[in-house]
Amino acid sequence: MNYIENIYICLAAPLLVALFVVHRYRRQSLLFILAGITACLFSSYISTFIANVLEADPQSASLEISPVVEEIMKLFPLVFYLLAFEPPKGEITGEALMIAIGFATLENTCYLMKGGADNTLRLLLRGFSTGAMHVACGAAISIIVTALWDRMYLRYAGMLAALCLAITWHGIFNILVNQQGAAAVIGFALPVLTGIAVVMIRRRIYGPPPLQGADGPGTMRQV
Amino acid sequence: MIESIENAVQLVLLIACTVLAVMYNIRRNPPNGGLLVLFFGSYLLGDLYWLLYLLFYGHTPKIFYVSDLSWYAAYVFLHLLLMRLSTEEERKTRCPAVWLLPAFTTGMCIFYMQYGSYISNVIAAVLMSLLLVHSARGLVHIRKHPEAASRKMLYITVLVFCFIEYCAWTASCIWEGDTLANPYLWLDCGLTVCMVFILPAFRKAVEA
Repeated sequence: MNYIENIYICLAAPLLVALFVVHRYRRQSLLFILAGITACLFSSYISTFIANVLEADPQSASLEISPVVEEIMKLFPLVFYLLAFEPPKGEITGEALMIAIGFATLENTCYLMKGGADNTLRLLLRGFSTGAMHVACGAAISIIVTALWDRMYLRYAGMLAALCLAITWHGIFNILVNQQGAAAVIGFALPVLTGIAVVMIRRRIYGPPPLQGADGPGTMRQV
Repeated sequence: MIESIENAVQLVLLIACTVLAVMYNIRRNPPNGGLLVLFFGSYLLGDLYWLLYLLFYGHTPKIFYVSDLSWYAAYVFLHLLLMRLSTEEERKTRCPAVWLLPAFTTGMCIFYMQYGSYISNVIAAVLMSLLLVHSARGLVHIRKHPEAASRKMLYITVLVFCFIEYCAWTASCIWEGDTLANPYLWLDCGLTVCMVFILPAFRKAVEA
């Protein structure tokens, strides 16, 4: 049995202490990592609850329930940030990534506790596939939302559509990595390929990153 | 089996459309071209999830249709595309007859509720109403302002797309069976052809 609450306390405690010490901008990043870890904890509870209520077998839970719950839970802190703080255009990509990183950290730690840390290749695959999948999905959602920033209606409708897209992408990934042979290899490669595509799209929208200085992205082109 | 083949053909054509839309974006950088890519990409992912599930597990999802979400996302992206291409004046065009379309989608939604889940049918009806109303209003506007005629083909294609989708949904409620006699298969083929036409229609709308 995995005591996810205990793992959560171990990971969240140092971040929580650091929140009171670090500089404002770093504090914001830490807060979003913490939000990602918390989202992972809650999505674990909610997925288990829904699977029990619907009497789902492990396969259906993994392919049909967890992608939906995980992506929705990851989006909640971002939506709260957008609604409560109304950040300027282009500032949410970093925050979405922090949430995804936090989420992937707790998920991978739970995986380590369950499966052990002795097999380097398996963990390498795990780290660069499932971990990268969360990051790629978070980045894709934030890029779509930023591109549709000009009107409130477009922004939130685009966010919902991007969420649906991320859920399906996550579901396809789960189907592929649950197979053997070539399908699994394609599945494991998918997040890294998605990450590369997201970086290319981001470069196309914002142009190349500035060499130094500027915190935010450059002038955005029409999408 | 025949339905899987038809879905695979649709998937291949959607891959082609997505690649063409991406290439068109890279070469010409048209306004809102990214939304067209997202429309094709979303529909493509929905099809891919559905096909992979059938291929590896031999049955459709038992609890939740994840691919439905992707198809809804495709409708949202298409609606956002139409919204961004249209002018403020066009969006303010009044035509009472256009409101017959939401009445039609509501009626169909109630009919489909006998066969499927309430929530998914309501979502589909809302999204289809948005697409139908926007396209029909656009056509009314074009009749009054012929200078905006470049978007006519896009609106007609979207209207045809929505009506074929409705025909396919209705056929899937009435007819069952994985044979060529099932009209759903032919309507889904028509839907694929219609989606292919969205690309040149968009091109005409933005290049005029």
